[in-house]
Parts: sequence; C-alpha cells; structure tokens
Amino acid sequence: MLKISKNASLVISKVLTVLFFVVLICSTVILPHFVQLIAPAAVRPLGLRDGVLIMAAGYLILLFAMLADVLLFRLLSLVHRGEVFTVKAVALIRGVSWCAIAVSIVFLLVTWYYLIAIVLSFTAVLLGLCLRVVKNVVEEATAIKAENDLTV
Amino acid sequence: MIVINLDVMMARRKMSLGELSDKVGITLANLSILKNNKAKAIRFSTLDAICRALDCRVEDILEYKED
Repeated sequence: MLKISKNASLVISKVLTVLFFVVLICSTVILPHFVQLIAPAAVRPLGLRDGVLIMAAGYLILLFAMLADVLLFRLLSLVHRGEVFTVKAVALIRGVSWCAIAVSIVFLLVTWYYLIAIVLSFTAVLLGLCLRVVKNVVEEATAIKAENDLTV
Repeated sequence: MIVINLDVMMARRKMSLGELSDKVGITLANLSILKNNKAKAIRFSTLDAICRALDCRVEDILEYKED
C-alpha cells in the first residue's frame, strides 16, 4: 500500500487548500455565466430581481467557502507547528463548521428557485454537524492534554 | 486548595532549582510548574523523589489551605 509520510501528507493538504482557493477565485469570475446557464432550469420564470438574488446567494456561498478555506489553512499551519490541541485550533474548527451551516442556510433559500438546492443544503448541514462533533472531540482532547501537561 | 511550599523547603536545604531538578530527575520546566503552583497533579513517584532529595516529609511540601 502507498504509504505517505506525515509531513508529506501535511504538505499535500496545504497544496490542496491553496488550489481550492484558486478554484474559488476562478468561480467568482464564472458565476454570472453559470447563473445564466442554469436560468432555464428554475422552477419559476426569473426576472431581473430574481437573477440578482441568485447571484448574491452564489457570491455569499463563495465567500463562506473562502472563509472556511482560509480557516482550514490556518488550522493546517497549527498542525505543522504541533499546536493541534489548543483553544485556537478548536476555535478554527468551530469557525469552519459555522461556515458550513451558513452555506446550508443560503442553499435552503436558493431552494425557492431551484428545488435541487435542497440536496446541497442537506449535504452542507451534515458537514457542519460532523465538524461540530469533531470540534467537541478536539475540545475534550485539549482539556485532557492540558491536564496531562500540568502533571509533574 | 492545595498549596506547594517547595520554595520554603528548598531555601531551608539551600538547594537551587537546577540542583533539585538534577536530583529528582524531572525537567527544570516541570519543576517550575510545580513550584509556581500551576500544576494540576503530581505523581507519587515525583513526590517520592522530591522528599528523598530534600530529606523532608510530604507535609513539608504540600499544604491544604481553605480558600
């Protein structure tokens, strides 16, 4: 089986995070064309106001995705420095989970125009929930580590 | 709360922190944590080594104070 060293794995994660950020930036350029492309698939005829709302939702989602990506990158930097089980790392994971939940809310609003968005909303809320649990686990681990570090 | 009176005993024995850490076999950083009352727990083995190094009793180092 292919075995990747811990450090290499960390570098791969960082590179992927940066690549994803580049993809997000490209998406902001493509978004208007994309909205135009999917316009005929809407459940109701779209006026100018609807178009603007859908665009706003799209940009909001991209914004939250970027924020989550930045938080993930900072989390990876913490892992690199060996400060995983700290209050800071817990706060970063919590931030990412809130981003996922915010995205799910935006997708839920988009459901008004595109029914299929409910699937994405569902996925995002599930992701946010999983991250919250991870955050709880890391928080508990942080407490145990502090106790262990302060045992002489 | 439990208070550590390590500095009192060290002064009485005229022992420095570095000397004690050598004798007890724990790092200077950990000994500082203990001396400054920041520790959350102490192992029996550590307590044993400290009492042996300072030639004192447990109650010379540990004290219960009502907060």
